[in-house]
Amino acid sequence: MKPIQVIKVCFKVIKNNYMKFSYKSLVLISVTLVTFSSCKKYLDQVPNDRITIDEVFQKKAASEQYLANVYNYVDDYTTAYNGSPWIGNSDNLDVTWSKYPTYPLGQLNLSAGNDLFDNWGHYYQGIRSATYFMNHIDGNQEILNLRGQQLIDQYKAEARFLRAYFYFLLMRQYGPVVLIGDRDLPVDATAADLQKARSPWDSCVDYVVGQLDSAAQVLPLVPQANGNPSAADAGRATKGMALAIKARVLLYAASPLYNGNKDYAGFKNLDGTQLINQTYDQGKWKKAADAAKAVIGLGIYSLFKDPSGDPVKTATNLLITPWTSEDIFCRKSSHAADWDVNSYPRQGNGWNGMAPTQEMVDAYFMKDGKTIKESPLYSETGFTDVNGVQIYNMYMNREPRFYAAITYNNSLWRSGNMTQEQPISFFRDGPNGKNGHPTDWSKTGYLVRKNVDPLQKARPVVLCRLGEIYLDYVEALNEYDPGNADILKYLNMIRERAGVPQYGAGADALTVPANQDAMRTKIWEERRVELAFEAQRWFDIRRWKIAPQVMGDLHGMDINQNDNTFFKRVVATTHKFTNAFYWFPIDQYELDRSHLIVQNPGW
Amino acid sequence: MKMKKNRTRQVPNKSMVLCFYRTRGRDLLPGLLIVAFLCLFSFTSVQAQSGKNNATSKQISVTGIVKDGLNNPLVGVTVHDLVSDKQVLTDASGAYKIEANIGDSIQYIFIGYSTFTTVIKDRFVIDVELEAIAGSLNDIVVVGYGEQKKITSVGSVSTLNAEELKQPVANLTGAIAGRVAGVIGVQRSGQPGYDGADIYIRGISTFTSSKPLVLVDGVERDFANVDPEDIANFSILKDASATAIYGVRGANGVILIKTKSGKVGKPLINFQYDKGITQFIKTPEFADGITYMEMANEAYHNSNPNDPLPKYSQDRIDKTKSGVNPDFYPNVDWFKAIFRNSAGNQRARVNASGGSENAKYYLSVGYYDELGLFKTDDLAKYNSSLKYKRYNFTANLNLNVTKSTKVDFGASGWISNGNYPGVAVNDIWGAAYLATPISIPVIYSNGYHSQIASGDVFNPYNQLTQSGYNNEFRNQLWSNLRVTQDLSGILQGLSVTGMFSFDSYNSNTIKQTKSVDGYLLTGYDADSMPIFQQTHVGDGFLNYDKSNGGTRQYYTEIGLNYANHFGKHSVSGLLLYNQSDKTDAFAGSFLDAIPYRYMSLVGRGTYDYDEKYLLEANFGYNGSETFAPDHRFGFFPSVGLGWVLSKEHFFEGMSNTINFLKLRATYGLTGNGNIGGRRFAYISTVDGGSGGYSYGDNVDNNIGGYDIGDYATAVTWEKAKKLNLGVDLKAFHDAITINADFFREIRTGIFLQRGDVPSYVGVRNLPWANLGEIHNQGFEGTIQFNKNFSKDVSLEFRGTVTYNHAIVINDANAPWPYPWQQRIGRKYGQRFGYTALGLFQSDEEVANSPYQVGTTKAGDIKYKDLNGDGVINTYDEGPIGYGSIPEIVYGFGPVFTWKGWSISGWFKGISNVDITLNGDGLQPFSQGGERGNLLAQITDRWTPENPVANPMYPRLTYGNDNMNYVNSTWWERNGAFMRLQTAQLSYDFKGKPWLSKIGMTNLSLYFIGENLVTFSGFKLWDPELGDGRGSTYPLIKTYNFGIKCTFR
Repeated sequence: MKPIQVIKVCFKVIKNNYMKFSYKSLVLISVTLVTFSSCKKYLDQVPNDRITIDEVFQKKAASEQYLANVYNYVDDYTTAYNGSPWIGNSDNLDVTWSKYPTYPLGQLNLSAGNDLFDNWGHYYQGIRSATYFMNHIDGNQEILNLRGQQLIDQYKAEARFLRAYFYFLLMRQYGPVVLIGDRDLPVDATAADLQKARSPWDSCVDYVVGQLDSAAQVLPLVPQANGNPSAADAGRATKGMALAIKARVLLYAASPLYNGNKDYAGFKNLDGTQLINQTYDQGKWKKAADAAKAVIGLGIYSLFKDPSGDPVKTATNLLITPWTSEDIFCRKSSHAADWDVNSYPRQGNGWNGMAPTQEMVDAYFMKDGKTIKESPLYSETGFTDVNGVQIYNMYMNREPRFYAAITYNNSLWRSGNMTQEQPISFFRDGPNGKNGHPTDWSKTGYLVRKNVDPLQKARPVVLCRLGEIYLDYVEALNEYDPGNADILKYLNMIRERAGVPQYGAGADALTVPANQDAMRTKIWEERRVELAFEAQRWFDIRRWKIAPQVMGDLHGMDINQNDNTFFKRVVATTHKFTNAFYWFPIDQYELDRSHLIVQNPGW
Repeated sequence: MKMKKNRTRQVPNKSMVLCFYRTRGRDLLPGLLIVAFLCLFSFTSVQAQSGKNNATSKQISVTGIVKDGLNNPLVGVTVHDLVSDKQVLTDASGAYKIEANIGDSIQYIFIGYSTFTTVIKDRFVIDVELEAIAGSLNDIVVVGYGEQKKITSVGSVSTLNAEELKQPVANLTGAIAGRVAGVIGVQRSGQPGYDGADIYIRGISTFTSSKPLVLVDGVERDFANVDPEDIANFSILKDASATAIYGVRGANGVILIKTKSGKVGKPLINFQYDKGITQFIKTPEFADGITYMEMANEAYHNSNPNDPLPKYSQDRIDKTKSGVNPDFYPNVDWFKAIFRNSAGNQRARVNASGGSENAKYYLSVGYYDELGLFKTDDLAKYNSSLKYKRYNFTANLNLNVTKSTKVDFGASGWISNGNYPGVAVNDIWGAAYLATPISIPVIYSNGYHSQIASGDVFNPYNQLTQSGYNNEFRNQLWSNLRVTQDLSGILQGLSVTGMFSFDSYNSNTIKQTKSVDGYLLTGYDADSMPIFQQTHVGDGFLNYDKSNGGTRQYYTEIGLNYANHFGKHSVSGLLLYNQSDKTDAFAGSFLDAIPYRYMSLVGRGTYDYDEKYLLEANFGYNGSETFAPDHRFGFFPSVGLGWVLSKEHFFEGMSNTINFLKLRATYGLTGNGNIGGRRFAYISTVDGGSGGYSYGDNVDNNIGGYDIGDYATAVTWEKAKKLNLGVDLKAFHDAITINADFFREIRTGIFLQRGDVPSYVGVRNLPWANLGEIHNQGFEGTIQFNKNFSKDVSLEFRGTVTYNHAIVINDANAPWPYPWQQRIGRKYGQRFGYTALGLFQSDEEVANSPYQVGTTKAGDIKYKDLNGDGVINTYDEGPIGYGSIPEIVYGFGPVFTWKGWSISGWFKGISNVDITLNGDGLQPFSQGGERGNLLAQITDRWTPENPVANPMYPRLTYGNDNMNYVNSTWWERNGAFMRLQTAQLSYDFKGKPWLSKIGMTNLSLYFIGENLVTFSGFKLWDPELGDGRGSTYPLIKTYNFGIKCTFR
C-alpha cells in the first residue's frame, strides 16, 4: 500500500468519526504532501560528469590508458622475497627471511587453504581486461580519425598477445586452466551460470599458440608509431615477443611433465576429460624447435657483449644494461632496485638476504669449461692469496659467469655507502655475519650479485632474451634430431659469449658430448648457469621432472664459524618438495565457487 | 482514588516544564529574546521587577487550567488554598476557579504528579502544568517526533535517568551499556579525547553499519561530547513500533536525547566543581632484562640446538644484574619509563534556569579537563603532554509569542582541545611492546638519545617525549529553532510545528613533529672511551603539518499533530515531513563531497479505549540519494497493540500485589540505509585499474591505467522485520517495577560484496548485492525497587540485563568445504581457529600425530585434526569461543539514602565474550631477536625440566618456527568481567538553616569513583580492551571529590 493511500484512509477514519475536521486542515495536509512530492528532486544528486567506461573507448588517450592497465599485469620476478617465488624457491637460491612467503613455501607450507602467491584471480583479471579491450576498441572514433584502423589492429593484437601471455603464466603455475574465450562472463549472472571446467593442457597450448600466432601476424617487428620505429614505445608487444613466448609454451608442452606423463593418468575433469595427454609425442619437440628457430630467424636480435670484451663484464652487465640487442621481452618498470638492496651485504647498506646455494655455486663451470667434478683445476682445500686477500680455493679458476653472479667469502664488493671495494666476510661475528643482525643474514654464506646493480638504478626486468631462445632451441632439437649441427652451433654461441671453452670448437676445445643423453646433460647444465636467477629454474626442474632429486636439503658454508672452519659444506636450508608441488594448488576459495574445477593432483 | 481520563498526545520537542503561567492581556515583551540571552545579571533584574507588586491583600477569583506535560487537561486536580483551607477540583476541561486573597499559597495536588505550590501575587489567571512523578504511570516517554504517556505507549522504549549520566568522564558513550536495557557496548580505549565506546542497540544485526541513530533535540547528532548535566531525557527506541517512523535509519535502534529547558520561577543557579585523580585500570607487566636474556637463551637454544654459544653470555647477564654500567648493560621497564602513576581530571559547571510565564531559559557552561598518564621531558622546548580540555555550553529558550504560538530556540556546542605526542599514542604503546629491555637504556647518561640500529623497533621514550606534538582543536555548534502553532481554532487538538536546525563541526590539527638523533653504544675503545654509532639522523627542528575536518548539516521539519478524546476513546495523529543534508567539508573525493541527504514523510496514529486497549500504527516513507532513482523511497509500516490487564475488572482482586500490568506486542518493518560499501552503487565506475605501464627506450613514456572499477548494481536498503513482546509490571504499590522485552529481528537485504563469483570471471572488485541475512533475537529486562522505609531512610535498587544472539543466515558467500568451517548458521562475529589439545608431551607424540608445519617438538601446541587428513591446516579451523562482542551486558546498583547521606554504586558486567591473544611482544621472539618485549608471565612456560600441562606459553622458540602462534583455543581467554563502574558517596546539607543565610538552597559534597574494582578471570590487562596484546591506552580509574551548590 502506498503511503498516500494510507494517509487517505486515516483521513477518512478521522473524518467519518469526528465530523469536525475542517477544510482548512485538509489544505494544510495537502500542502505538506505537495511539498514532499515536489521535493523529491532533492535527492537527485547523480554525479553525471564522471568518466564512464563507454567514454574511455571513445578517446584515444583513455583507450591507451586502458591498454596500459592490461600491460600492468605483466609479471616481474624481481620481487623474489614476497611477490614471486620462482628464484627463491628453487634449488638455486635461498631467501633468508622467514616472515615473507617464499620461505614457508620451501617448508611445504602451502595448501589450497593458504593462498601463497595465488595468481589465479590476478591473471584472470588481466585476461578479462584484455578481452574487454578487444571487444570495445573497434569503434574508437578518435583513433579512427587520427590514424585509422591500423593502430586499432595493432592495439588489439597487443591485447591478444597479453591475454595469451597471461594464460601461459597461469599454465606454468597451475597446469591446465579454464579458457574463457572471447566474451566476458557477465557479472550479474548467478553463480550457477558462471561455472566452467578446466580445459586439457593440449587445448590450452593450442589456444595460446593460436592466439600468439594471430597476434604475431599483426604485431610489428619493432615498436612503432605512425608506422615508423618508435623508441618511446619500446616495451609494447612485438612480433618477436609473441613468437618467443610461443617457443617457450611449446617447449614446456613437449617436456616430460606435460608430454605423455603417465603420473597424471587419473587427472581428469568431472566428466572424465583427460587433462594431461597420456601419449608421448616426439613431434612436440619439433614444434618447439621450429618455434624457437622462427624467433632466431627474425634476425633482429643478437647476443649481448660488453664493449670491453671482458666476459665478466658481459655477464655482469647483461641484465643491468637496459634494452640490449639480446632482449626480446622486457617489463620497463620493475622492482629490480629491491632485488639489489635485498642482495647487498649489510656492509654495503643492504639487507643481506638473497643467498645462492652451494648447489648453485657448484653448478658454475671451471674456467677450462669443465664442471667441478671433471676439472683438475678444482680444489676444496687451501687458500690463495689474491691481492692480499685470502680466497678459498673452491672459488679459484671458475668461469667468468661465476664471478659475475656470486658474492662469496672475501670477494670484493662495493655498494651503498662503501667508499671502495672491500672483501665481504660472512663469518659469524663479521660485518655481514649471523651475529650482527636478528634477521638479515645469508644462511649459505653467499650472496647473489647477478643482476645486482651497485648503484640501484631503475631498469627493466628482462622476461625473455635471445640466450634463452638458443637454449630452448638446442634442447628441443636434441630431443628429436640429436645429431643436428645447430645444437652445437647455438650451445657454443652461448659458451663463447660467456668466455668458456666450447665443445669441439675454438681454443681449448672440449670434447663433443658423446650422445643424446650426454648432450642433454650438458644442455641442462648450461641452461642452469646461463639462466640462473632469471626465474627459469623453478619451471625447468619441474618440466624435466627432476625436482624430487634436486630439491630438499640445500647446502652452504658453515656460517656459525669465525675462522676457516667456516669453509665446510653444511646443510644451510631445506627447500622441501613433494609431487604435489609440480603445480600450485587451485585455491580453496576458487574451488568453493567453481564446482566444475578439479584440484591439481596431490592437493 | 479517582482515575481521570488521561489522553495520549504528541507534542513535538516540547520541553519538560514544571509549570507555566499565562497572564491575559500581557503581550510578549519586545526584546525579551535578547534579554534572555544575557547573562545571570539580567535575570536578577527580571526577578526584581516581578517582585514589585505583591503587598496588597484583597479577595479575588483565581482561575486557570491545569494540564499535564502533554498539554492534556487534568480533571479532578485538588486546588487547595493553604491559608483559607478552601478546596476545589478541576472540571472536565481542567479548569478551576477559587476565591483567594493575594498572598495566599495555593497548592495543586494530583495523584501521580508532583505537588505544585505557588503564591498569589498579581496574577488572577494561573495555568499550571503538573509534572508527572518519574517512574509513575503518568510519566511521559519521549518517542520519535513526540512524547507519549507511559501507560498508553506500546513501543519498546527504555529511558535512562539523566542523573546517572553525571559521571566524571569526558565521553558519555561509555556510561550507557549496562545502565539501560537493550544496549550492548564495550569501550576499547581510555585515551583522552578518544575514549568513546561502541554501542549497539540489541547487539549487531548486520554486516554493514550497526550504529544506532542518535538524535539530540530531534536532530541527528553525535552525543559523545554532550555535557551530561544538560541532558533532561535519554531514551532508547528499540522495536519497530518505536523506530519504523525513522524508516531507512531506524533498523539499528534510535537514541533520543533532549536537553534541558528552563522552568518558570526565580533563577535557579547550580554550581558544581570536582577534581580527581586518574589511574590506569591495569597495565600489562613486562619481564625484566635478566629474565629476558635467560628466556632468549632458552628460546635460541631450542631453535638452534647446534649453535654452541648462547644468545646472551653469562657475563652479560651478570653485568646486567649487577647494574654496573646501565649504558652498556641496560635493564629497562619501558612502561615505567613512559607512564606516570597517576594524573588528574577536573570539571566545573554553572547553569541557570528560570523565567517568566512567556519566556523561560536554561543556560549552562561546563568545563572538563583530563591529563594523560604519559611522562614528559621537562627539557623539551614544547609541550607534548597528553592533555584534553573541553568547554560545553547550552542555551535553550522557550517563548510564547502569542497565546497560541510558541517558539523554542536552542543553541549548544562544545570546544575541545587535545594535546598529544607527535607519535600516535597507540604507536608508542606498540613501541613499548617491541623494544627489548636490554638493548638500550631509556637515555644515555651523557644525554644521547638511544636507538637501536635496525628495523622498525623504536625507543618508546623518544617517541613519547622527543617527537614533537599534535594539537587537535575541535568544535561543534548546534542550533535549532522551532515554531509551534496551536490550531485549536480550526480543530480542537490540532497543532502545526516547524523546525529548522543548522549544525557545524570543525576540527583542526596542528602537527609539529620531529625526531631526535639516535645513538647506540657499541663498545669502548682502547682508552675506555665509549664508541657511539649514530643509528638515526633526526631532524633538528619541529616540522609543521596540519589537517582539517568538518561537517555541516541542515535539517528541516514541518508537522501536524492532532490529539483529542471522545468519551473513553482517545485518538492522536501525527503527520510530518523532514529533510536533512549533511556535507563533509573536507571530503577526500568527488563522490564523498556530495551531500548526504535524507527526506521522509512520517505518520503515526494512536487509539486507546479507557487506557486499557491500546493501538498504535506508524509509518515512515523515506528516501536517500544512496539508492537508485527508481528505488529511492521505502515504506516502513509498523503496528502495535497493548492491553492493560490491571484495568480489567477481573484483576481487581490482585491490585494490592500487582497494581499494574500491561502486555505489549509490536511488529513492523524498518530499514538501514547506512549500508556502507560503495556510494552510488547504481552507477558503474572507472578507476586506475591495476595500474599503468611504462614504455620507452631512453624516453619515459609512462601511461596511467584505466579500468572498470565497480560494475553497477541495483542497490537498496536493508530491511529489518522486528517483533517485540513486552510486559510492564508494577507490584506492591509501585515498590517493584519490572519491564521485560523479548525480541526477534530478521534483517534481510544486507548489502554485501558477492562472494560466490569464481575468480576466473576476472572482475577486480566483486559485485555488490543486497543478499545478506541475519536473524537476531534476545531479551532485555529491567527490575527496579524503590522503598522509603521512613522519612529519612530510603533504598533504591535497579538492575538491567541485555542478551542477544544473532545468527548469520546468508553472507552472500560460497559454502565452505567442511561443515565446521561454515559461517552460515553461526553467530555473527564467530571466531574461527584451531582447537588446541594441549602440549605435546614427547617427540614421539609429535611423530604419531597429524603433521603440523614447521619444527614441532615436545612442548609445542598440539592441534585437533578436524577433517582427519593427517595434516593440520586451514581446513581444521573451526568455530572457537564467542567472539569479541559480548552477548550479555548487565548492570545493577543500589542507592541508599539516610538523612543527608547517600551512597550508591553501579556494577557493570559483560559475559559470553572472549579475548584472543596475539601480536609482537606477546608472542615471544616470534620475529627473532632484538625485537619484541616479554610479558612478565613469560616464566610460566613449558620446559623439558618442568613439563607443565597448561602453562601460558608453550616451548619457547626463536623465530616463528612452528604453529604455536596461530589462532587457536590456546590463546583464547574468557573476557567476561564485572566492575564497580561508579561508586558515589554524598552528603546533602538540604534544609540546614545556615544554608539560606549564605544564599544557598542546597549544598552537597560528594566523592565519586569510576572503575574502582574489576572482577575478572583475565589478568593480563583490562579485559574491556579486548583482543590483541593489550597495547592500547587502557581505561582509567578516577577518584573525584566535588561540591555542588544551588542558589535561588
